Amino acid sequence: MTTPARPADAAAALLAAALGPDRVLVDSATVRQYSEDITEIPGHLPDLVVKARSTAEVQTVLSIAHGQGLPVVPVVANLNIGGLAIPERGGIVLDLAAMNRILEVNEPDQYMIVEPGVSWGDVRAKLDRDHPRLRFGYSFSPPHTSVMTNCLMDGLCNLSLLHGSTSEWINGVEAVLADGTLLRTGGGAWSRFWCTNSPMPDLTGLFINFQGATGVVTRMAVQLWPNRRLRRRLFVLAYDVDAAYGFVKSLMTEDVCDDIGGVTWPVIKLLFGQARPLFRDPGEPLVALYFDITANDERLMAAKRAVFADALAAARARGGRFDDPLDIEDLVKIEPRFVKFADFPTRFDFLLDHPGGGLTWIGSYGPTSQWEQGIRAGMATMEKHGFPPIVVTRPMRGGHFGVLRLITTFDKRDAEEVRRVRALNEALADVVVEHGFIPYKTPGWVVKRYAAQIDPGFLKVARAVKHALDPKGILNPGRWTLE
Amino acid sequence: MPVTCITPERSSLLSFFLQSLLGRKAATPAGARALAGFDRRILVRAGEMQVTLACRDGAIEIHPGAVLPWDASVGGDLATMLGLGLGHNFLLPLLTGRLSFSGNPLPLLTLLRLFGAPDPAPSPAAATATAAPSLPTPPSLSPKA
Repeated sequence: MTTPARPADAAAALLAAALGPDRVLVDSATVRQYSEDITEIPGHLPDLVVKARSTAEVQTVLSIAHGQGLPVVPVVANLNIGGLAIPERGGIVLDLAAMNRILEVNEPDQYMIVEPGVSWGDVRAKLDRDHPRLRFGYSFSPPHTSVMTNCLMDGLCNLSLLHGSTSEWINGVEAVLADGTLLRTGGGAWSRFWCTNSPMPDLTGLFINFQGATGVVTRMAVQLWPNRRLRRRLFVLAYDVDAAYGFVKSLMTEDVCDDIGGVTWPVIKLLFGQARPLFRDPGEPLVALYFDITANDERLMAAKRAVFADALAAARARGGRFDDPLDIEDLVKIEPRFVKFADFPTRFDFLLDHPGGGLTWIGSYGPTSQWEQGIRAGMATMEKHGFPPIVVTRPMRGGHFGVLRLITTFDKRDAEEVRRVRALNEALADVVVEHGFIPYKTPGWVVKRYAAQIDPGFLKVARAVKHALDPKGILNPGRWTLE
Repeated sequence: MPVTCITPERSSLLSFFLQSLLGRKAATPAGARALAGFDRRILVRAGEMQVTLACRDGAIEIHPGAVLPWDASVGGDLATMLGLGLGHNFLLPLLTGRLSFSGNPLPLLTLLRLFGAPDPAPSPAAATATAAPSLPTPPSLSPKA
């Protein structure tokens, strides 16, 4: 018997023996599929792909990788926007998509336990079918993408105005460390009810926003919320940024809306099937705001809508120009493609399905006090670089902070356009950081660009945490400059 | 296609809304009858957006902006105009000044026949929503004359 020369070959042989050869994929077509995402960030080939089906198998994979000192990058849908799942140092891509069970829905205690491969669509179908009293929040991600990865990376969704970013909903996780050690965090570390992260010391945080660099999460307990019988989604078209966001701010603290969001004019044109380049008619609205209002009781719904109408009247009295609210149901009657905004999860094919298929963004969280300036600066930067100013905004957690996401679609086959997009994203990152926002799902290049601004004590402790949990630095290396 | 946007890359949202509304209705037998022999230009304003509908030979071209000469014009805020497009009663907005028209009213009556909700496209949201009281009417924007 010969000994494989490379750690990757040795790991592949050991993994094939442990899991079966059909679960360890080394053919060039497969590994190429896992080498890049839809962004402008350069791809890199992994050495092999392993498809795990259980926590025990994840432990096996990490134990073997740890022994060989081989990098491991966990993925599910491979649709990350930010290059976070690109195996930039090769090694193993650990595909967790087949771990797709909803292990428990605890209706009285309002939580569920999911595996990494559980998608938004899975959760919606399960709750609608078996637990209509409960609801979950849904991101703008396509329905087949992972709930867990969104939560672990502080995602945002249509209940984030009420409940904050999705990591705040996590009651605890089961995770496998680099050497195969298994642990549970949150209430599930002690109780058989995983209904809260409190009052345990918050080890769950060791796995949030570390982008898979501290452990591979194999289960997550996450909160669910009471469903509402009545729901209205209203669109209001606004004609200037200050008026639009003055209106949003007046409502975001009023406990009236489950969700408030804003998209700039190119989004609606893309929805109508228009292709780049996009031009704005001078008379067109600048921002489409949408508002979700829900209630279980008609009287409460009427009261909420009255407060909404008063806020709109006040915004107009301050000089803001708005069209009257348009009900999403009417918009769908006018143009069926508006159904993509009617309910979630949804697939924004107009962002994903276009020649070249490139999609990227600088998404950020930051102070709503700086929203208007940040939006204007972001739009101006995008136009200066020759791209339509696609901006998505959303107040979070009662307005304590807000989303500023600057989105670019591009032709990934066009090397020159890819170069322009990289330059644009660098400029946009500067814009958001200058306005006090922090890029979320933070790409490695962003961390490097602003490393000098990040508190050195923070980085020292973050690196110590990484070293304690992953001493050989095999887990998704390159994130947060942790190695 | 009986309803087309001319220079779509320069068209406003109003053009696309009208294309959606009119396109599906014009493709029906009733729509085809309404358009048969209809040779008029109608200026449509919604807020500060304006388009010209050039109706001819059973088809409609939607031109950005005001293309002279037009036979009639109709205008209001966007919500009112979309409500009109969905077939909502136009008398109340007309009486309250939210909707205005000028020129020859006969082409507008033909246009109204092309409005009204097209084939229903139920939204998932509709399944969970029930009727709620109407919003109190906010102060209206003055339609452009």
